[in-house]
Amino acid sequence: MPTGLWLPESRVPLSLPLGSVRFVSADALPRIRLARVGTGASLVVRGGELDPVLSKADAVRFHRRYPRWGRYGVSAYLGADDEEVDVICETRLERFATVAVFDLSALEAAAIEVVPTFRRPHITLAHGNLEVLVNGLSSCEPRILVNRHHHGPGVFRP
Amino acid sequence: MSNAPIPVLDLVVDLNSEDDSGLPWTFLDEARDPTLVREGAWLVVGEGTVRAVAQVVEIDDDIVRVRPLPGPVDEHRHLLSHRVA
Repeated sequence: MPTGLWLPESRVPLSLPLGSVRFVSADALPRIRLARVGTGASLVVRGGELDPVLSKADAVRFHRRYPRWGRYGVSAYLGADDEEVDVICETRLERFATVAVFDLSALEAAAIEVVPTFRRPHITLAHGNLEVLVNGLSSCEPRILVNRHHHGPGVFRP
Repeated sequence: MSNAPIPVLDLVVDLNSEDDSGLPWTFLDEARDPTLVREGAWLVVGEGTVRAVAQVVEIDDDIVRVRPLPGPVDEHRHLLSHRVA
């Protein structure tokens, strides 16, 4: 079993030039994109109203999936402005009636890492300490927006 | 606000999440009844009050990847055959 960061050749997309991927994960590491966060993007959006109980459960699940990374994490998306956030709400977060929108600078001030993981515009909000992550997210006081692309609850008849 | 009952979750999934596959994922032991979780099955997934109907795309050891459908659960209830007595 290889240790440290590694790049199995079978998982490198042929269309990507060498150097465009920092590493492809083994099972215990998330894939991190090479492009830095913050160039032209200033907003972070996550579906839901940021319930600390759910955030904690999600962060623990992430840590269980990627233990070698040593961080707790929750998924979110990165946008340049409100217009891009609206596109993310339509294309990625349609199932959420509300979304939480953070300023990137507020997350960084709360010592939360904003890591570009998997496919753009997905990111992971991460910290090595679970409580710092969950409390930090709440302390950032995100804007809670109604998702105009949400389909509504519908009427369910079990 | 609707008074419609919230559908019972079959599988807890953070619908913000994705992994290398680009799909939301969770662990098999997050299922209400793990016997319902098999590749191709249609389930009610979500977390908190968020719900979607999704198809199980892949079960990789204890990791389950799903493809949620757009629209409310009721729009896809015909796919949830395991709920029919």
